[in-house]
Parts: sequence; structure tokens; C-alpha cells
Amino acid sequence: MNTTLPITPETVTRVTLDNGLTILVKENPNNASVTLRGRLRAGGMFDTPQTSGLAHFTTAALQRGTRKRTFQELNEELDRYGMSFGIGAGTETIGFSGKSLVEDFNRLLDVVADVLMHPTFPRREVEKLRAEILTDLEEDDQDTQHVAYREFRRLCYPETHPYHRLSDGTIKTVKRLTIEQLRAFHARYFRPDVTTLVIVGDVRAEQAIEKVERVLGRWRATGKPSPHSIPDAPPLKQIARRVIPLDGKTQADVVLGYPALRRNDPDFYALSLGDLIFGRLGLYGRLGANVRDEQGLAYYVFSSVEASLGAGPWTVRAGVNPKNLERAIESILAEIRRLRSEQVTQDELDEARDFLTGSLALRLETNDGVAAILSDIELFDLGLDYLQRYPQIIRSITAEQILTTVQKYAQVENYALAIAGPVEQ
Amino acid sequence: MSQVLEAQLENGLKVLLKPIRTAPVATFWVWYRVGSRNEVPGKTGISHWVEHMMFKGTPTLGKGEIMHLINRNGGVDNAFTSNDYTAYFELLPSDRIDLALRIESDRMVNALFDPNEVESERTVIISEREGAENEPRFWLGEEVLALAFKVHPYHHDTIGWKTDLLTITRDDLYAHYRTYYVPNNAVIVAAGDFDANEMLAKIERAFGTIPRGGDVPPVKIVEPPQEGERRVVLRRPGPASYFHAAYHAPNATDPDFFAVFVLTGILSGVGGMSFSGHSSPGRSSRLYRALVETGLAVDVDCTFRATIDPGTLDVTATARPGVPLEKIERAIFVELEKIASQRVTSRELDKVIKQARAQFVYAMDGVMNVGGWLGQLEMVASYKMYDTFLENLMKVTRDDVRRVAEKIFRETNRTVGWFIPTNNSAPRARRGGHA
Repeated sequence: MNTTLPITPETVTRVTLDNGLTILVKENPNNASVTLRGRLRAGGMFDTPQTSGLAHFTTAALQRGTRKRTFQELNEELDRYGMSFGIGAGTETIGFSGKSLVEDFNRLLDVVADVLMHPTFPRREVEKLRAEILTDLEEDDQDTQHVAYREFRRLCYPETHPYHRLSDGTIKTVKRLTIEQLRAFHARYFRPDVTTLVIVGDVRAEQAIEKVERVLGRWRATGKPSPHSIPDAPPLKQIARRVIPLDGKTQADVVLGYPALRRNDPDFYALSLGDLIFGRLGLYGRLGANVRDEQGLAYYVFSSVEASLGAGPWTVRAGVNPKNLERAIESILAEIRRLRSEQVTQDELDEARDFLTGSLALRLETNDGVAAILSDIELFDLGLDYLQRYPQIIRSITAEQILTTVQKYAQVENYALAIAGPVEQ
Repeated sequence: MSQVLEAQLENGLKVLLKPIRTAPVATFWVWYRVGSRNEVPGKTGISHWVEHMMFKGTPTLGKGEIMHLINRNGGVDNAFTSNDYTAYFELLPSDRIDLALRIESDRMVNALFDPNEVESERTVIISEREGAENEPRFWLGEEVLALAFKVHPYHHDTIGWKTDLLTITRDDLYAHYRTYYVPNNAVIVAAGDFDANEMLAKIERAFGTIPRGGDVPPVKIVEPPQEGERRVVLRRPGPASYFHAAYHAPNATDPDFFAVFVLTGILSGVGGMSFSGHSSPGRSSRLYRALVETGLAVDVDCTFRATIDPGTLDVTATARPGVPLEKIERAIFVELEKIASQRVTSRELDKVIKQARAQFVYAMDGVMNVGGWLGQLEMVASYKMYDTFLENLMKVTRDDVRRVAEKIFRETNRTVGWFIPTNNSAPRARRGGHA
């Protein structure tokens, strides 16, 4: 049995090529496949309100035709070798992931390089893609969970903040985006010095790096990358509540929350532990015990902290029958009040700490799991010794710290609340 | 799959153990041969509800305690119900795996079904259903299924009809539990970092004293051959038009199973067999090229699952805005008729086999996946099916694919559903409730 951590400074190879591309490799001979995961520091944050959805559209269009391959040829190649590849844009990063059998890893890399470096944006394919995106947006407009979350973000962040809107854009903006805008976005923001590539699988690190260098080494960018930073988010000053009625629905979806913190904020671990106890552990922590288990008001009710490069939100989400809506919201607020008014118990704290440290092995069990953690370590600059330090970080957080931290971020008198479903405005 | 230790305890409990000693984790599963397939009218959804009650306490492990113990030991656990089976699993650091045996042996016999807990769970289950009802495709799928099966219990979804969820009683649930949660109707699957013989001895200690139960009532219902095409048109508020056609198809033990698997792969790619979920359909597949590449639909998929009794092969699509469903339907039928009348190319056949081979390797990364695969195959056929899966796929010929396509894609074998969105600008018909 192998009991050593798979991610340490000794077991992971990290190099930066001349062009600024960073590569991390973790060898794992236990499965005859290779997982590839990449990230670019770019995304919807570079869109304006008028070009909302540009990063998303551009990224989705990369696969629709390249210098070496038509869309159809690319699809044929991926399918023929049982490979997978996908790429998509979020607000502050563009992420891609691929998978192949070991024997086809060269092919996969070639596809990835072609897509990143040489998209051609053929008109016919771009227009088909536009129709697909527009249909997705139409579907989103009638998806209660999506609408509630989107409206929550509007209430939670000021209009000038990148988190005010989701990165997929609006029907109005996507209809107007031009191929020239797509080309320009690609030319400006897709560059090796903002890109990280994580490789996990049955490869030798040295050889994998050589292969990457062969296909991506000639990728060049001019000038300096655009500044990549998310402004602070001001705290809420009142209750901002919005109801969006949607026809033909049975259930109302609710999102309640606050702007919270960045991943690198010193409060991150205390808030994460508080969040775990509040609305995640087991079947949704205290929220689940109260709203689901005791009162039977909702199938799902949970909380999450979306800490990223910017101060992402801390949210509670629930799906409830409209007749139970006010009772469910009251119960959620009551739990927030309780979390703010007294320290979590020693039992709760022990459980949360044990879970986080104990379950690390589970998260590191697969190539995909290792790649996901490595990718975060790189993005948030946590260091390759992060997992070695992790148990100590978690054990050092006290109930008192959790209390002061949740008091700082969660309020009962100021919050953003969005509701979408079969309800009156 | 090689090196699976198979055993059976005296009380009839079957055990499948697969040591994988690459990471310090292990997974433990109990699979019960019960699902919505075993339900009778008026009691639909009862198997899924019983699954929820298994987290609500026993005399020794009170409500919520299972979750606390799992958390304290750095694990995760959950359960799910399908039409053919109900499965419970834990994933734990391997030095903590005994906890799973303690939890599962306890709730195989001792679950309380406290009447108050049954009542609060009733609304949770209804909420689960109502969440699904917010999605137009759920309504369409439910209607198509109900029409495709006149007499077989595959007629209803595992969540059950809402009217049944309102009337099922605590005693109904408990009786269902006592009938089906017996060692002779269960299979244990464990995979991960353990010694097989040691694990078997532990299982014998934990489960061996549970008495054998009565034989479970067999499901004898056979769906009669369909005599004519069936259709349903659903008009509700929604963002797009959806198409769904269901064709009766072979079960997992049918000699044609592999040919139908290949057929599905050629139509929309392989990915559906991956235990961890359905990956996006292959964009080089026939249906994608005929429907999405041509701009008629924004997505199209063909799914076929391994089931105990003959189930369905389903073709679904979302129309591009402005494209009428007639056109979508015609384009799909043309493709299905083509594959039923002309042999596929050997290139297409090779592609599906390579895709399946890759999917198999991917699915073996992680002990959870391995446990899930073994259990699922054992429920619908035999875990041994895994060993010969690729071999059997490679035996499928181009003639086989054409032959099964011809058998399945007949007008009289299909149920067609259309979802047509009602005009959103029309006055809103609201269903109760106030903010």
C-alpha cells in the first residue's frame, strides 16, 4: 500500500518554459490513462456589459475549426481514439481538460495545442455555435436555479464588479458579438505566460514535458499580459430581495448570501470550517438538520463559499414548495443568527476538522482528483508542500476564530436574496 | 474482471471483493435487488422512500449519527435507487473501513421507520420530485415512459407519482423494507486497499448472524409486444421544443445486448456506459452530424442502459429555435431507417470499440468506480460480464448491427413524445403560492 501523499515538492515536477507556460506533472502508473488539465488567467472579467459573453463564446468557438483541423476532423479524431477534450470560460479563468489512453497522449496534446494556438473561427461553425449558446441562454432563463443564482449575483455585487454578471452573457449581447471580436479576444488573452498545464497519469515527467515543449514551445505572445485582478466587493448595506416569477414551475429556488472573501484571505480556513458546520457536513450540516431533516421543507438546502481570485460569495441555496417559502427563509435566517451568536461546539469543530483532514486521501485517489488539486495549488500559489501543511492549518483554527469570522461576513439585517419560481412578485 | 473473490454466506448474502492496493482508500457497497421495478400501482416511489429512511436511525445509531461517524472518519457515503436496484456505499480511508460494515449490517435489519420521521421525509421526497418537475424534459420523459410500458413497472419513474407519495403509509414502507432488505436479496461489493480473506472474515462476523429472510416476490410481469406507434404531445411553459422517442430494447442478458450497445455507440458515441455518469455524446457520431451539424437541433443523444427486464433505447433532441419538431423527427427517423437498412462501415465499428476500451480504462481509475461497476453489472446480469465485455463487443459484426437496428427501429415499436412550449407572452396561469 502506498501511504505517501501524491502531491509533495519531491513527487511533482514543475517547470516553466521560455515562453512562460507552466507545466506540472505527477506520474501515476496505476491507470493506463493520462489526465490533462489546464487554466488560463483570463475570462469573463475582461468582458464589458456590452460584450458580456465574449470570453465564453470565444472559448467555445476554439474547437470549431483550427489551422490543422476542421470541426468535423477534430471531432472524428477525438472520437476515433476515445479521447475527451473540453474547454470553457469562467469569470476569471478559462479552464480545459482532456483525457486519453497513454498510447494516444501525443495526439491529445497535438489537439490541445492546435485549439489553443490556431483557431480559425469559420463563419458557418461560429453561427451554429451562436444558435446553440442562444438556446442555452433561453433554457437558463427558465431554469429556476439558474435564474435565482444570476439574480443573486446582481443583488450581491455592484454593477461595475465582474461578479455582478455570469460569464455566459445575455441573449442581447451574444446576438451582437462579431467574429472579429472573437478573434481579437483570442489574440489578446490566449497566451502561454498566463497558462498552466497539469498532467497526471502513466507518463514519465521528463518525457511529458518534452512533448509539451514540442507542441506548445513555439506559442508566443507579444507585450505583457493584461492585469488580472478582481476589485474588492463592498459589503451589503441593506436587505436586497428580488422575486422572479416563472410559469409552469412547481418549486421555488432560493439563493441567499453575501460577498465573502478571496481564496488567499487569512480568514479563508475559518470561514470554510464555519461553512462546513453550517451547511455542508454530511447531509448539509446544521441547515440540513433543521430545514430538511426536522421540518421536511426542502430536498436540498446547503451553503457554500466560492472563494476565488476575487471575493466570491458565501451563499445558502434551497429548493422549496412556494407555500413553505417564508418558513424556509426564516429558518435559514434563524440558523445564521445562531451561527453568529454562539461558538460552534467542540464536537462540531472536531467533526469538521476530522472530515477535512481525513478525507484528503479520498480526493487524491484518482488522476482527475490529483489534477484538480494541483491546478488549484498553482492558481492560488499555495505551494507544492500545501498538502503537507494542510492538516496543521486546519487543526489550528479555533471555535472563537470561526465565530469572529462568520460575524464579519454573515449578517441577519443585510443580505441579498433572490427567489425564482411559481411565486408572485 | 480478474481477481474478484466471490463468496456466499449461509444466510444467502453474496459477497464480491476486489482488492486494489494503489491508494489508502476502500469502498464498501450493499446492493439490494429492489427498485421501482418491484413496485405495484398505488405504491410507486416506495423503494426510493425506503432508501431515504435508511438514514433516519436504528436503535444503536440514532438519526444523523451515520453521517457524523462518516465525517469523523474522513469518509463520504450516500445511496441511490434505480428501477432495478437500491445501492448504499461508503468511501473511507482504508484503515477506517470497518465503520461501513457496522453501519450497513445494522441498517439491513434495524432501521426504525419512526412515524414522525416518515412524515417529515414525505415532504422532502415530494420536494425532490417538485425540483425535477421544474425541468420540461422530466415531464416529457415521464409521459413517454408511461406510454411505452402499458403493464410492466418500468412504466413509472423511481421517484413515483405524486399522488402515491401523498398516500403511502409508514406501515407500507416498513413492509417493503422487511420484504426486500434481507441478506438473501443483497450483494456486498468492496473494492480497495484490503486483504480479501481478512475482509471476508469481517463481513462474516458483521452480517453472518442476520437471519435469512423469505424469498422475495418475483416480478413476473412481461410487457406485451407493442402493436402500434404511441404518441404524446405535451404543451407547457418552457424554453424550447423537445423530442423524445423510446423503442423497446433488449435487457442485459439478451444475446443482442452487445450489438445494441454498438448500435447506440454509432448513433451517438460511447460514454453512457461509464459508471460515473453520462459524458457528452460523440460529435462525430451519426445523429450529431445529421441533427446538430445541419442546424436542426442544438443537441441530440441516444441512450441505452443495461436493465434486468427489457427496457428502452431512447433518442432525445432539443430543437434549435424556430425549427418545428416535425423536421427533427423526420431527420432522426431517416437516420434510424438508414442504419436499419444499410450496414455500418468497419471504420465506425472500430471507432466504437476503441471508445469503449478507453471508457473502460478511465472507469477503473478510482475504487468507487470499480465498486459501482461490479455491483451494477451483478444486479442486472452478472459481475462476470465485466471480464468479457470488450471481447463480446469485438464479436459484434456489421450485420448484427443492421439486424438489431431493423428489429428495434420499427414504427410499431416506438413511442414518440413532443414537448411544445406554450407561448410565454400569454397571460400567466400561476399555480398557487405567494412570496
